[in-house]
Amino acid sequence: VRAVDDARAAAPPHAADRELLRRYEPILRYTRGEEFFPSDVEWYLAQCSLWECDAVGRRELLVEEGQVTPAVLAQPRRAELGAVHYLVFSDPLDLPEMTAFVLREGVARLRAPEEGFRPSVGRLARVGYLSRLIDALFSFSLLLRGRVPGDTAAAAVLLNRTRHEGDQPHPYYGRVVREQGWVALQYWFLYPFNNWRSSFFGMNDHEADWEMLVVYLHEQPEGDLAPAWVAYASHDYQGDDVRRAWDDRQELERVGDHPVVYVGVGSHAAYYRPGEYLTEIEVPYLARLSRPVKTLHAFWVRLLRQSGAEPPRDEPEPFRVPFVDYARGDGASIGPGQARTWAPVLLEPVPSWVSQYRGLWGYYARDPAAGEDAPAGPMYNRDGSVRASWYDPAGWAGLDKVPPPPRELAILDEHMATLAVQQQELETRIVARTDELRAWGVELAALRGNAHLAARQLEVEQRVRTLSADLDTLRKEVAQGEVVLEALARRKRRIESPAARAADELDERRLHIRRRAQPATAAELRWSRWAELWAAVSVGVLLVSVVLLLVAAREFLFVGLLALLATFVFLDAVFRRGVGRLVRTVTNGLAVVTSLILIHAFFWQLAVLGIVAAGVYVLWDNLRELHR
Amino acid sequence: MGSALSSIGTPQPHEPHRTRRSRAVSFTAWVLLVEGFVLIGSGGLALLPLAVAGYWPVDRRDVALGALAFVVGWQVLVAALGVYWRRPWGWSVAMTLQVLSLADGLAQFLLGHPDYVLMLAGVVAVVVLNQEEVREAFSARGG
Repeated sequence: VRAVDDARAAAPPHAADRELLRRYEPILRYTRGEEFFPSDVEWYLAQCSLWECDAVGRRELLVEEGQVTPAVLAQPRRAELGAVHYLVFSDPLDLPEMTAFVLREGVARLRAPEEGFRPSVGRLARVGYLSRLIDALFSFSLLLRGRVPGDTAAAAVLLNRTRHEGDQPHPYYGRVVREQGWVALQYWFLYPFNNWRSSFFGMNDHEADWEMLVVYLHEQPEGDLAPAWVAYASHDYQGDDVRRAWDDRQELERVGDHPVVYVGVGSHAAYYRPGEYLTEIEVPYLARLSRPVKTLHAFWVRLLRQSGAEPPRDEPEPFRVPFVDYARGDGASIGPGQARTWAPVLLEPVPSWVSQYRGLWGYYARDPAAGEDAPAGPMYNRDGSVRASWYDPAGWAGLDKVPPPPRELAILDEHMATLAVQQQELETRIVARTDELRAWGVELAALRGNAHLAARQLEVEQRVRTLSADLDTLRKEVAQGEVVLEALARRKRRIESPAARAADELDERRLHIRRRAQPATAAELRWSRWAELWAAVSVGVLLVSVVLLLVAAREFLFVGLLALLATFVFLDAVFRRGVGRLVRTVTNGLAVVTSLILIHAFFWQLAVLGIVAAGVYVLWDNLRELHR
Repeated sequence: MGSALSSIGTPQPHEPHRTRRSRAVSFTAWVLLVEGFVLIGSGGLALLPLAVAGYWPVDRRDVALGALAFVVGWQVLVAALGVYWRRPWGWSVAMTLQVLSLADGLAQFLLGHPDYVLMLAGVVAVVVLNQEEVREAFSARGG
């Protein structure tokens, strides 16, 4: 053991970091049909050319394909305001190449259907009409927005297959950051392409995909490092929501010291559990419309109390487009003990290709929504600013407010002592204020009944009121402080008593999660093919029907539109097993409209009736009191 | 025989547990009963010329709406009994019939022959059916 310790002491400082990274390196489980796996930067760059796009969209080749290396990428380059540097990984296929690709893939799927990807329930079958309509608009907007050409994904697949990556270990780019008592092990993965949209009905395609996860360790009193938390990057989740406790086996799957990650097919988002995730992406520009809709919904549910006896559930956001992220984990696996293994690359010291290149790592589509633009490297955002996950890994996962476990007790003691001092000060102030108030009270009693001192009496009364209010505020603060101190004392007892801690630690370790990515339940996946078909065609059929109505029967436009809408909404409710809810909503809506008509027609009569009813009630109530 | 006697007064496993009918549920049933009669009356009046003299009014839509009110009225009476006896289907059927009752009232209003009593009866029925106590009484029973 001493020899090993001596060897460790003699080893360069980065060797210990490498060892730490290897000890907790993750196991990544992919879904069948995944084409892109973590790749090495050198190979990726060798396939790329480097370009510049200026503010008005003129594109200029800076470095030709085959000549881009990490060193070339890191070379300093001038860029005018609004110019963007970017890489181009794959050139789109021409028509014969694309045809051959499609045919080959089709034949391969026919020969071995079990090896390919099979979508389950369509994403549109899981959401309501408004989301489907927004989705149709979103898909239509792709024609107008900048986007990665469809055949680029096919070209990227072909290019990626030339790597023969099955024969060699996959690299991850590791980094060890010591911050606020936490030791963050960052694992970065470079995927050559994100083909979520073109291959898996997702939101976007883009070249290059940098994904990341972090394992957080803390130093124990004996000096060893112990894991406490992990955080996986996943779409727009951030802060506390991305973090899970290391020993929460219900939330986090592990094989020994290796956390298991379920990777979304095509999107490469990381999930804690296998399954199919309904991910809602906010559509820019429509977000501001969601507030009035939510207000209306809140009025309906809270004021009119129309939620019924159903359990509360998370309603999908009204102006978000739903996508399904498939993270089934039934495909290849990379990690310790798996068929494919890791080859760690330490980002320490930070290589110049990380710190010096602020451009995009793939095609710049000039998409205003940015979803089709490639990301920047691990250190930077698309706009060139430094990523929060890079400069503050603890804060990125909401750990900046969480002390490492061994330090918590000391911090708690210190905080309790500070609060106790504050309480003492408040008590002293209360005594002083009480004395003062009593003195004024005595004077006030003396002034009463002396008409010639009326002015002084008014002044003293005002002072007494002010002092009394002050005293009330101080007492409230003391009472609040006592409650807080009690809560802190309870927590201290819990920390000091391992038995009490073990009893509720797991629950407590989940309390920070506000929004959790949940895979679809078996019930949600139990949709019939007809329901899926209906969800897929409904919006299109509705729009065509409206046009037909306009052309063929314009005189019945209003009635026809109502009938159309009613039919579609009813059919949708049937397929989504929500007829009961629909009936309640329609009934209550009709009742509201009828009430408004009645109020309009009999406003004065209702007003008089209301006043008479109030008078009779008051009369009856008072007489009842007298009778008692 | 002995076993049959001993089972009297003992809740059987297949029988749902019966609680006291709340005042709100009884009141709802009475409101539905009144609404049912209002619907039958309103519909009957619209159908009277046709039934007595075989005379079709100029606007046959009035007759259709009257017929609808007449039919729905009888069904609302059945729903009122369902609510009073706290049958699991009582609340759902009553609520569904309100769609037809309110739609009938609104259609008459749009045609220029508003029947405000019918409309008021529909609104009051929806309000009482939406009382939390009533909803819970039926949701707890699987309604």
